[in-house]
Amino acid sequence: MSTYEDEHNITHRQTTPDNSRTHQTLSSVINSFITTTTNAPDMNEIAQALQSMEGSIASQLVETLHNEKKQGLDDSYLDNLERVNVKDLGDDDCPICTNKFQDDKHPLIVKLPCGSKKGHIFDLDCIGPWLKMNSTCPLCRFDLLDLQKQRKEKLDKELKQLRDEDSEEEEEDWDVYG
Amino acid sequence: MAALPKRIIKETERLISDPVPGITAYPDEANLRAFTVTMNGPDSSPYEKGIFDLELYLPDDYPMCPPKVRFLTKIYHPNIDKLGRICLDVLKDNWSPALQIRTILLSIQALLASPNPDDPLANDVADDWKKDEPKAIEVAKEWTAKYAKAKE
Ligand SMILES: [Zn+2]
Ligand SMILES: [Zn+2]
Repeated sequence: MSTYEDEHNITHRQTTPDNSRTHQTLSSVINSFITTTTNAPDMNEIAQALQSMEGSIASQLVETLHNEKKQGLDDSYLDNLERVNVKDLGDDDCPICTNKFQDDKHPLIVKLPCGSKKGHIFDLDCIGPWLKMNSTCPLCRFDLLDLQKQRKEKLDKELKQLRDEDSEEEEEDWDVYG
Repeated sequence: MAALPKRIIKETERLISDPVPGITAYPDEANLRAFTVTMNGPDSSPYEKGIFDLELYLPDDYPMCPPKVRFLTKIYHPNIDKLGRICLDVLKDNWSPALQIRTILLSIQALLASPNPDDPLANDVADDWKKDEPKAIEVAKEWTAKYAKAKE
């Protein structure tokens, strides 16, 4: 097992001047929060670590961490993204890894429903980790979670309308036979 | 440590072969994720003729997370604090994995050209800036002349 220092490459930071030490301790706390994405971050642990530091600054930081924890999309969302055939693409690069789609022997390419005309297209392997933590298209910042919410609201509204119409009909029936 | 991702290698090569005007960025020999950066102060800004040293570090999950960038040269700017930390949306909430080291350095250069005291990181500097902008610009010029000199 490599140490935390190895994993996070901290050697470099230790070469920076000592006067910024407090900041680096804070940033390493935040770092560990940001980088432990696969194992769900334990907010309490982070909060405790921060609270043991300086009072008001720490509580502000805890608040910021809570607020800024972004919401991503789940696996089923990723599985259902529109697939793109590499044959239909030109000489394009994946905007994240910057490799040409054509150079990939086994490409798995998806298009985001962000509404761009040409389509914002990525390797599934590249966009996957991003969308698990964030809900925006990396190219146009369109919020895919908003779109999903809007669609759900629209569906709920339509369902509710249908139900209301049903009950109205029932009432009419009562009028006839009542 | 895992091998350096191809994207980082490509970005580094391009930064060296086709540098951004007024900016140099070289990876440290011992750690290819750590860059030594110099940035010329933009013309007709208080930082004009200054040469600023920065350090840029690519965390392990770059490009899912933004690079960490810091000014090493002292600078008087409402969005840069005493430790050289930079208040810039694309380095935080507005980071996107489609951005690159290049685009980030360009954004920082643009921040030097147009300081934004309404979104401050260095609160006292931002206060000075809002109270008396001509005076703040004078101080920024003095600091530039004093700390951001070209090296012999
Ligand atoms: Zn890719
Ligand atoms: Zn898009």
